[in-house]
Amino acid sequence: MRWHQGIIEAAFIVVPILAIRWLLRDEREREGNS
Amino acid sequence: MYAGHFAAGLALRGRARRVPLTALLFGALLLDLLWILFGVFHLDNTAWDDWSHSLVMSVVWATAFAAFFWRLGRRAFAVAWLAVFSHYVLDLTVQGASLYPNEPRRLLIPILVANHYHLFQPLVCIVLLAVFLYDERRSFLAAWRVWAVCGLVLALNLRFLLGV
Repeated sequence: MRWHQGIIEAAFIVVPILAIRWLLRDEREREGNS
Repeated sequence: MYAGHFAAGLALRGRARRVPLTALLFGALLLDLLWILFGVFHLDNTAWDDWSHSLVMSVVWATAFAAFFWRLGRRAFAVAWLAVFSHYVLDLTVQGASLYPNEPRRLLIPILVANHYHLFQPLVCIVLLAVFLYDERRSFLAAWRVWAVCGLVLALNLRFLLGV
């Protein structure tokens, strides 16, 4: 596997995880800290 | 299998709330991350990506990953272990699998769902997401966020359907 292929494959994993993490983020913590 | 791994991580969320969701998701995709790592550095030259995806190595990786959560209790350890090992089970259904690195070809486990696998994968997602939705029914999260996550995971199936 070439470097750019690896980066694309990793992006297909990391980006959805970050999106899910963002959607399910704990708003209560932020409100508690403000 | 691709989107099903995200759904597996989400379905496991309610089983052990002490394990961060991000960890469960990365755990569910760990074998693919190792596959990328081994591929880029040319460390795995086996025909079926045995060093990341075989049964024996899946157990090894799952145990190593779950060890980070041992201090959170046995339940957290078991759920983290399952998150990683679920990858082997889900891949087995539509891709087949090997038992251990460099095993003879005759020992390879054949694909379990060879027909209608384009429908099988979204179906697996729907079942696992139903578990996630059930667990989140009393969550403080806004319903649209939970449904948006389900929509996102289902949309990830398009990658496979489009052959990207």
